[in-house]
Amino acid sequence: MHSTGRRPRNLPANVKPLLTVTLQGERPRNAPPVFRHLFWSSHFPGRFLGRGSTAASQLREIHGAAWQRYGGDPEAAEKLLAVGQSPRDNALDPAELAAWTTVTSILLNLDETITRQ
Amino acid sequence: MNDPQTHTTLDAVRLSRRRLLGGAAGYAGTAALMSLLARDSRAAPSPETHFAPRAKRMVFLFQSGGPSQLELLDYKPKLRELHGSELPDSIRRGQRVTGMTSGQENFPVISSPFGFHQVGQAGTWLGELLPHTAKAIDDICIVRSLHTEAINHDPAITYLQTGSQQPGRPSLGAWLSYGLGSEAEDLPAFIVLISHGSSADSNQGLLERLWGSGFLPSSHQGVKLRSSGDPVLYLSDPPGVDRELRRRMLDGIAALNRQQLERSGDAEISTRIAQYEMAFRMQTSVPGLTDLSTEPDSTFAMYGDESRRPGTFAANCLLARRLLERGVRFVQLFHRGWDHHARVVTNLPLQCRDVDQPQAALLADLKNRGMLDDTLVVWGGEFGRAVYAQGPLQADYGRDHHGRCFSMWMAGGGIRPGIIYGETDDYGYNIVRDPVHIHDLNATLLHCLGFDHRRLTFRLQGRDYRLTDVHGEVVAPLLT
Repeated sequence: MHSTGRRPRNLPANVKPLLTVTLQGERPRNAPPVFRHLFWSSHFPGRFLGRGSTAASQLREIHGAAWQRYGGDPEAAEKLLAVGQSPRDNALDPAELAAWTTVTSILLNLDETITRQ
Repeated sequence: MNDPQTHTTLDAVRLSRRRLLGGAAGYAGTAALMSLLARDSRAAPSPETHFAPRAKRMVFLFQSGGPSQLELLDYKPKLRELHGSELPDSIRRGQRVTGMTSGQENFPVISSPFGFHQVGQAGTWLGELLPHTAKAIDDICIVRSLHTEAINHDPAITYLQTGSQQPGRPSLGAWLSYGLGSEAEDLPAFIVLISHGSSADSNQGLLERLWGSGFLPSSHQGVKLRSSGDPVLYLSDPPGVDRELRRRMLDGIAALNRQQLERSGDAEISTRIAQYEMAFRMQTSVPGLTDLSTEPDSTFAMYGDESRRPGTFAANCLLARRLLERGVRFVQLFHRGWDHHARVVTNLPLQCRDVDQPQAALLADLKNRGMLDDTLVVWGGEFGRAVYAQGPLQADYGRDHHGRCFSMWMAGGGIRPGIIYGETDDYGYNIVRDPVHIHDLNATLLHCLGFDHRRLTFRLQGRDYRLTDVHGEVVAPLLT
């Protein structure tokens, strides 16, 4: 995921709505730029039925747990954020970013993300 | 035992990926169709055998390329006088040959320069290139009368592995996983280890479908460990992620995947859920498995120096014993490089050196641990090699494929030790007594593991498929 602000073209169709409902209720300005864009994006793919509340609450729970963990252990957050080659926006709060990384990792590992339908 | 995830009602119905009613629009219709199909389907068998098994687990030492029985397992002394003579039509009887030799004008008989010795209590004739295996001969049953219709590698190995020359069916290991499940909770039921031969032979391809699950739930596929570097990659969690958070992430993934599974009925999702779960458990089990510092030096002395080098046949034999100890149901080794169309004299000793000591060590090791009695060990390839020279008659000759008769050996759970079964003619070309088709072999293997091969089935498209297709007879004289 790159933080250039351009709409990412390669995001699987399911990720956007899942992120969106997860973000609802969160303060979007604290999320990484790409997520902020998605939140405000008006592109909602058609097939998204009955998923919203359960999936979102589960993801929010995990986000919360991750945020607590990384908030209490900034060193762990730094270690996680050092993984990978993508540039990182240093203005973003590390604990918050690590928490969102955790949520994103879940979404990118879903069967529906990995499998081309 | 069997992971309940893999035997949901949805799996039993087996909606294929070409879902009949795609997407949400057909959801109500899908449910109706499912209940109709459910009446017609067979649920997965409970993980119980049909009768008391002789073996609880199996290791197949597969020799890819077709090892020459004429130099190793099937002594043909008459070939010395027949050396150089033309293979008579009365012997060949119109056997089709591969494209590699079909253009030859002559088929001169080749007598091997490698000797045979009589070994063991039964005075079994065994090739001199296998001195270590000779020491274990009293535990081994040699079958000299295997036969197959296939004459080229991929159909032949597919045939042996799945019961059909055409791909698409489950492999032996997948059937065993399906029927027996795994004894270990933290390791897959079916593991594959591949090694490269030392001979200069061009290695035959080994495709993932050879240990695939075919139409069985895909959680039954074989899991191949890597043969160089770490056997399993990324065992440790990424920096900054602890086990607890990892567990929560996995729970989240599983929960969301399960929702999708319920919506779509795609059985592959339940496999993915099961595999993520298995991966989590392997994070803890694999380091212990691959940590050989717990093995005494005597182990490495027994298996040979190569067993310290990951990725060799020797190392894989040792790893196989460790896997079997930990409850893996079926370990399949593939050792490549036996396809000696050229330079048998140069290449065969190299291959034998790869396998001879470690396979004997594996037998001894299992025996010492009291495991040989309930572990089935099988050794062999997809076919054997022909008595005539491929190419010109020369000192370092080549041999083409030969499926009409070839040899394998077996040991352990349920197999009668120290016997020879089946006989071939003086040319080593035709079977003269007690033929064993590979369907018969598979029927016998399943029998040792407690299954009537005719009753271990999976219904697909209105037919009860089984490993032995619609063939195969258990070879009773091979059994204890």
